[in-house]
Amino acid sequence: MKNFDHLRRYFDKAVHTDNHITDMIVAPDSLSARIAERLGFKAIFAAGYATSASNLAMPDRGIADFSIMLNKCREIINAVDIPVFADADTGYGDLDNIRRTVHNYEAIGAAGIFLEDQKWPKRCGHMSGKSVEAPHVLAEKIKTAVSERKNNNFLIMSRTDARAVNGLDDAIKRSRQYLAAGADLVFIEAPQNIEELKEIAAAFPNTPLMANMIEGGATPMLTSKELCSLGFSIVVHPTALTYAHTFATEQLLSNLKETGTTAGQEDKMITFDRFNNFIGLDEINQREQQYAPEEMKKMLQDLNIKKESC
Amino acid sequence: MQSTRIIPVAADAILLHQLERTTNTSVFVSARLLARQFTDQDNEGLLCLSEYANFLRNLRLTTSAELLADGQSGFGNALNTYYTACELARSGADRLVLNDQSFPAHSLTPQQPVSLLNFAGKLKAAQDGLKGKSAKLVVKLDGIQYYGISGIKERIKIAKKLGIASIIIGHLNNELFLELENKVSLTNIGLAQDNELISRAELEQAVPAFIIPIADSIKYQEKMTAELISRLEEKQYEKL
Repeated sequence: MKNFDHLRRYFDKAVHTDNHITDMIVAPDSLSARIAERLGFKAIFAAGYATSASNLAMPDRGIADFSIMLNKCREIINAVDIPVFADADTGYGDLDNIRRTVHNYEAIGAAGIFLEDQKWPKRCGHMSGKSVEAPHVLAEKIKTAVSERKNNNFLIMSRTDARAVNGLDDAIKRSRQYLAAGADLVFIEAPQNIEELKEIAAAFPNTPLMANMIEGGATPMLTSKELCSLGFSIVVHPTALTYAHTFATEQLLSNLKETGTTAGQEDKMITFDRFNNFIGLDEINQREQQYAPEEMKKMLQDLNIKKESC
Repeated sequence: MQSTRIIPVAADAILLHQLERTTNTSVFVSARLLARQFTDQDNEGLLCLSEYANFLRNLRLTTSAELLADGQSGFGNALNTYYTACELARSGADRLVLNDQSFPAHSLTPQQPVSLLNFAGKLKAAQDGLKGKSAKLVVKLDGIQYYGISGIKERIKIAKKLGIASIIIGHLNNELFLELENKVSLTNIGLAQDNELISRAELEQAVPAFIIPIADSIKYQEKMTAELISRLEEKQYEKL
């Protein structure tokens, strides 16, 4: 069984290491998470934008519910051996829901969750038309989440969406409240320029901060290295894989529709053998073989089982 | 007189919570009961692994009772059984009950049992799936009507060879039970009351290691439902 405590400790240590940034790719599914792991990513994020798209073919507008989000996260956790951090949106209701959310995410082995102060139904942090709750609402949720977790290294991140609604000062003020309520990590969504990123870093010099790099979003795109030098400990790429998958699918399918064949497009695909090798077909076949009747016959030969009953 | 331990059956968090307050700390989370809730059919084989595991995970968070998860026949072949064991262990099972029916397992009349070699393969696979986890494997022999007492003995031998000590025998009737009682020591074996062909009291007379009264639980549910309907009908009559 996977050692979730080991993964949580690893993540906790990584985000609390000075001059180091944890690069998290949002995986729309288990396969993407496995690819990221193979390529050397050290943590995965399971988040709403990608899950809404991959599970529902819908935008991140608060339609993907607790069960959909939890299950997606669980599938990803089961597919990889690196920490998986989860987007738990608003916690899906009141403080009773927060308790259930924390218990469940911790039980499936997540490294932690973030909780945000948007009004439900929430929307992607870079979409227009957001509204936020009064800050005490999320402060209470954070307090509850912290007291309900079983392991202190199951990290709770506060997310505020107040920058787009009330300005950066309010977002920083709220995040201080959330930190005082017990948040381990802070995320201010959608700062609009590098100056704002710097201001956020200056406001929380001793707290791991997360930056969100969304292509075409409100925040300028910086490299992980640049964000690290600004003082951020975590960077997340929430949309890259969803956009890449959509683009590749669209390209391939429009060509197929036009030509009636995928021949000639193999250079845009992984091969049959390489994919089966990657996905672990050999290991599965070998495992099945271990339990085959011939193998069991060898194992049971000293029991003198009657031939006809085999 | 020696009394037999009863392992209650539940597929309901409230009931589980109430059972936890009694001296019982083990509960069999019956796939049959869950299938009845979900599908209105008395056929556990309609449930898939992920449906059952999802329910088990929810239940796990509500109780500290020892949960005996119903792995049915492993949801396929030995390979499926391996993944069944992995999934139910990480979903909170303390024990995994695996029967020897062919997939998909049935609740009323058991399916033909798998061959001895496939049986051994499934047990080995389940054990591998539970490796490094705290959950333990329990074997449920459902095919006595097909393979008789000699088959029971052979299957127990295989389970023991693989280091599995916990055995349940199910789908008994009066005749088979009498024969079983006379020919097999039940001191360390549990009995499942899967049908109404034999009562719990009769099974208790053999003083097995434990009894899982599945049929009684269903009967109790049906009785409650019948009472509710009869009360509703009385009210309708009063109104008229």
